[in-house]
Amino acid sequence: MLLLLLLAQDAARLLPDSTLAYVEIAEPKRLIATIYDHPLWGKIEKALENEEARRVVAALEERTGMTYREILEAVLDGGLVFSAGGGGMAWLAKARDAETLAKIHEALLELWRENPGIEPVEYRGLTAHKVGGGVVAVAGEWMIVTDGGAVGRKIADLYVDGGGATLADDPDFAAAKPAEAHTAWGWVDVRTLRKIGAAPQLFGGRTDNFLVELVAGAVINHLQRVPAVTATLDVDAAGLRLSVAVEHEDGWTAGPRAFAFGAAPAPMGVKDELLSLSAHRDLAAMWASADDLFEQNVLDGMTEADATLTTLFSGMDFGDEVLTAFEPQIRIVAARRTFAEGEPTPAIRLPAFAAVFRLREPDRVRDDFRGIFQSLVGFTNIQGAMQGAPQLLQDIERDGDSLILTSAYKRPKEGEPTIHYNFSPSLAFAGDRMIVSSTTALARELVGAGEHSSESANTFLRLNGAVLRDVLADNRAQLVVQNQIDEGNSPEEAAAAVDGLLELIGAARDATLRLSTREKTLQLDVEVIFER
Amino acid sequence: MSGEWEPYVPDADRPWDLKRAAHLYRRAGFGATRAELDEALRGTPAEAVDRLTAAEEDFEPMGRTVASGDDPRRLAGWWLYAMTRTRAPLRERATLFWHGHFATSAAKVAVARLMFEQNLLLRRRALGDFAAMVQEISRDPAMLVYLDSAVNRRAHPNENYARELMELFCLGEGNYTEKDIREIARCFTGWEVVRDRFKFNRSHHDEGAKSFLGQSGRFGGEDAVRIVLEQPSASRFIAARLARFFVSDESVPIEPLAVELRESGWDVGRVVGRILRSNLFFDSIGRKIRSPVEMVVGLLRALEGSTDLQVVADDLERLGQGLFHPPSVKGWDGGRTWINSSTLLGRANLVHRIVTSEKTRLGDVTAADLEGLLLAVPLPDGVSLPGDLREAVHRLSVLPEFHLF
Repeated sequence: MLLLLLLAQDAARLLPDSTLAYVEIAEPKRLIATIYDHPLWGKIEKALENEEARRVVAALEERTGMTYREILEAVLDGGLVFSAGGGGMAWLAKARDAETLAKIHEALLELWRENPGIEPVEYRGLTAHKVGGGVVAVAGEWMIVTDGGAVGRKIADLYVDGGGATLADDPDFAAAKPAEAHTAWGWVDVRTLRKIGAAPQLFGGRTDNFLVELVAGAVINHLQRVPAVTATLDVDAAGLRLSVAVEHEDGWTAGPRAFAFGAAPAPMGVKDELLSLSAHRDLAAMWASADDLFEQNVLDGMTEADATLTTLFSGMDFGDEVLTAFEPQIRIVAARRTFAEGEPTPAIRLPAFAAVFRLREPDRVRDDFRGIFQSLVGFTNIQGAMQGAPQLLQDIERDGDSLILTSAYKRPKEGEPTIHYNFSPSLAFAGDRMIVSSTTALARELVGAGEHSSESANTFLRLNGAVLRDVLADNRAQLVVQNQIDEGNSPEEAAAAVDGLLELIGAARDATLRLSTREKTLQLDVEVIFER
Repeated sequence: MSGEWEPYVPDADRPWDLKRAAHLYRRAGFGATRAELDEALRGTPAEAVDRLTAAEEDFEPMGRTVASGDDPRRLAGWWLYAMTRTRAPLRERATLFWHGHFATSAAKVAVARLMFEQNLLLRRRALGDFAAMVQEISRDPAMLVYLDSAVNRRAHPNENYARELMELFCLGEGNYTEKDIREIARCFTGWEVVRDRFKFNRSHHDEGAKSFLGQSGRFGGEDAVRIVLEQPSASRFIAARLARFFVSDESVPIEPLAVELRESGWDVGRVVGRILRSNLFFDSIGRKIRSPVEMVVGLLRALEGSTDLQVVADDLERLGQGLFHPPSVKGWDGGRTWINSSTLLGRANLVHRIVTSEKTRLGDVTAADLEGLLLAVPLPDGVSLPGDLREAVHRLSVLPEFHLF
């Protein structure tokens, strides 16, 4: 599909009032400029293009006498709208003028006629064309593309009649439109979606995925109550910011999903931080509310897991004794793994990662977790011995009040270090913190790490693009070879593709995600800052 | 019949032309591009064979990177990459032959590095000294693990490797006795695998006298290999295997090849070169059935194509020829066993997936070139190919003739 999504400011008057989702880009030209003028666009374009796309673009440019960018800017000049519901999906683009649009439309028709299956359709004096599975029509300055559903005729009726119940008349929709200008904004009528029984997993109360509930429990909770979801997107040379918001009432945080509401701890800083996640999740409460949260298949899995985990935790009841040991403030950290000179270095280098918990009663449970850790290391060694894997040697480090139980693989006597040598599993205690880490070095760092200022969020995630690029670059040889095999590229082509990808990733200096409640709003903000 | 293994000399009835050059490259190296065929035709058949037997190329660094990920599946993708890209296709085809001969499966030898090292060994010796290859394979950790021979003590000699050494690798059935197996097993006591490496454990070795294949002495494993290879049946067995792989599934006179193998000191390259230069070879056009790997690699080489080779490797396993995953210690039966109504359909589907994949790129080839590049026998009467290259390739692949070479 060559056409990008386009939005038009008064397109809402062409859409039926039964529309359920609406996305608008008011000034696509500015967005196009931001994308095209970015120094990395050339590389992205090259990575995305294929033979067929090149052929179509070249043919369009020849027939119209315009460059592809000029075509896009002309067609999308007045904005682009995407809608769903009311009988199908539709894209409405308002062009610079009817004459230019007609020329471009004719060029497209000529191209499409080269393939059989294009068929004209007449309706109320308007001519549209069936192309592939969709329908394309031009009416004055408007180019309208639908998925072939009934929405096409409804749009045509509103266009021809100039009146009738439209989306613009919907008071919820009108209230949702943001007062400030944004690159794009969107709206979804969640109330109607619930009413018609759409996405029962999302709106119906119980989920069938443990991880989704853990991560998005707060959002799922609100989606079952709110009338609508709105979103705004801002893109410029510095970066992009997406905000998705729903209504919030304090009383909505009670109930089975209470586990997901509360303030996240402040993130911790480590050297070469790749990722930092801070969240408020009361795991014990979630486990206890499982019957109200999950479908039967998940409950069955949890029952089985409960038994296994209780055994693993030396008879401690997993829900009542293990999970209740933790406060709801949880942090997960990942950092680029570096190897000291002389340290066995595997060919594949994985980042180090750790989880940081706060213990409710550290003195009471510390020894329990020590024993469990030692058992797990011993179990790993037995399993490893059966498979010819190296063995972990345990040790203890003390520094003031802090305690680190370490394990490290014996140095290989011969041969290359295997992937195991990325790990030196460690368990650390510092005050009321318990740190479970894949490496001793990261555990040590987290024991002494300070906390950044609080982000006032329920969930906060930060990803460092430059470090991600370095982590991938540490494994460049693997990525190049994988590209050769999976793409059939020569070594030179593969190296160029991988290096291009690394450059693209490095262009995103920072990416953050924040879920927070502010007065009457539950809001998800995603921000990506580009490297200048 | 003595002229069968004599060098083919082009004449008016059997010119050195595109058909014969393509035949040479298909059997010696999976397939060839138009440019390679044109180059071959500018010289003599012997010169083309010399080029094929002498060529070498190194894909080891790439393979070592793949093996470090410890996924044997990815090794199959790597090897396909080497086969499709190499400038030494005869060596790769010979390596494929030995992989089926000294069959070892990653399904049991789960360590990718061991399978990779074995593959390097097979490639290194593919056109070299067969006797040295057998000595090395007898110490190869992957082979010993596969045959449950990683432990072999004098109190309980492990007969697995001794049996397969004679039955499958060197002599063939009926050329040894059960007593020979027991005695040779004693020679290999103390030959073990410890921490994925071969180790000779002297304290487990039976130093006593052994008697087998007409000889007696305090033999060790190396002696056992030497004595096995001294048997007249050894050179005939290997010569027959090479003739079947390169020439015909039907019986051919192998004694001249067996003699050359013995007298050259087990020089496989020399014997393969003789085969590829011979009258019998050039009279065997279209008489063999391509294996799935030969079909796919031949297609991609001839069309200068590239694609997602990991997906192809997985598909080949479903078609019954998973690289690094032979079905048993006997390898692949080959020949007519490759073809039945189900596998024919599977092959056509695989070709269709390749030509329709977005990741597949093909060289500057037209549909009109396909018959000369891909078919060993003429296109059947009444069959015409569409003008679109990819559709034409798929159309060809549904023909039984496509699978002959």
